[in-house]
Amino acid sequence: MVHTPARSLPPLLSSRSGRRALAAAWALCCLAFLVLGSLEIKGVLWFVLFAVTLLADGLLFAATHRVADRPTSTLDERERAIRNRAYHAAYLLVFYGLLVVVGGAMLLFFTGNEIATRWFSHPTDHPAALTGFGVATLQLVALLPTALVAWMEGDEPDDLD
Amino acid sequence: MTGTGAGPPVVTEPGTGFRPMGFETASILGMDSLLYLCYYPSMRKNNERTSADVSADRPIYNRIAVLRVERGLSRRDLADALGVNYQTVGYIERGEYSPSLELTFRLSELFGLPIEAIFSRQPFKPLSEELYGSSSPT
Repeated sequence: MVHTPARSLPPLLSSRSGRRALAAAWALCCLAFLVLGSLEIKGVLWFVLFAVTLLADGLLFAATHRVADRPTSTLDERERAIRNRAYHAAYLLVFYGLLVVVGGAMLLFFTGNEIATRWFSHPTDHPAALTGFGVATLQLVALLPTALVAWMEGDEPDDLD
Repeated sequence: MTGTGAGPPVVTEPGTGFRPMGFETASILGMDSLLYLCYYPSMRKNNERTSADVSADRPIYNRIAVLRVERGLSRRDLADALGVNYQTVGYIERGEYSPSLELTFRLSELFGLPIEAIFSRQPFKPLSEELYGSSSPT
């Protein structure tokens, strides 16, 4: 049975520009976790960032009608098509992202870079950086397809006329 | 020739097709999409056209909105009858999504019209013009 939304969404969530702004905001939140962690910043800023990220997560789910993670039987053919495109793009992004990050880190380590050597020898000396990296990775794994659906979808038609 | 696999299908002229080495093996391993991404600039340089390029060149027009309003149906009513989401009906009406053959036949059955009366490669003339000719009233 195809899932039909009960009502039209507000303009922020139904317009392409609104959804793209939301997806960009979510990506910035992920980046902010990495920056906060790598700068070893501690304190209330983390809680603020968590709250903003959770809000962005919720709005992304609402804006996309959870197309990326609903059971296939509840999606129609267009939704299945856009979900498949989003998963394909997410796979490529994660693959190349990991290639750059892991490859770059290994390159630095094997060329004897001081910071990289210290990092790989004592990773637990940097709990804030590990937390930032962990949260950003979790966000990426859980919500990247949803963010990509939000980015790809056009202006949503209403059901009135 | 039309390519298969997870990436966008590639339409090539016979004899001019650019087929990078290892494509077949990668296709078996399910990695052809990655190779496609790597080789895409080369394919464009060789003037190969993806199916997306072809559909952008030759859009498919439809008169679903007119037929729906004629029958007094809302997008939600039509969507319920077709078994899709109302947004999908809207995207099809705007030409932003091309329905599958299955959905096209369902639309044809629902409106009781042949497919070519609903979809066309050429823009549809206004119904008034079709009925009364192109002469404007004086």
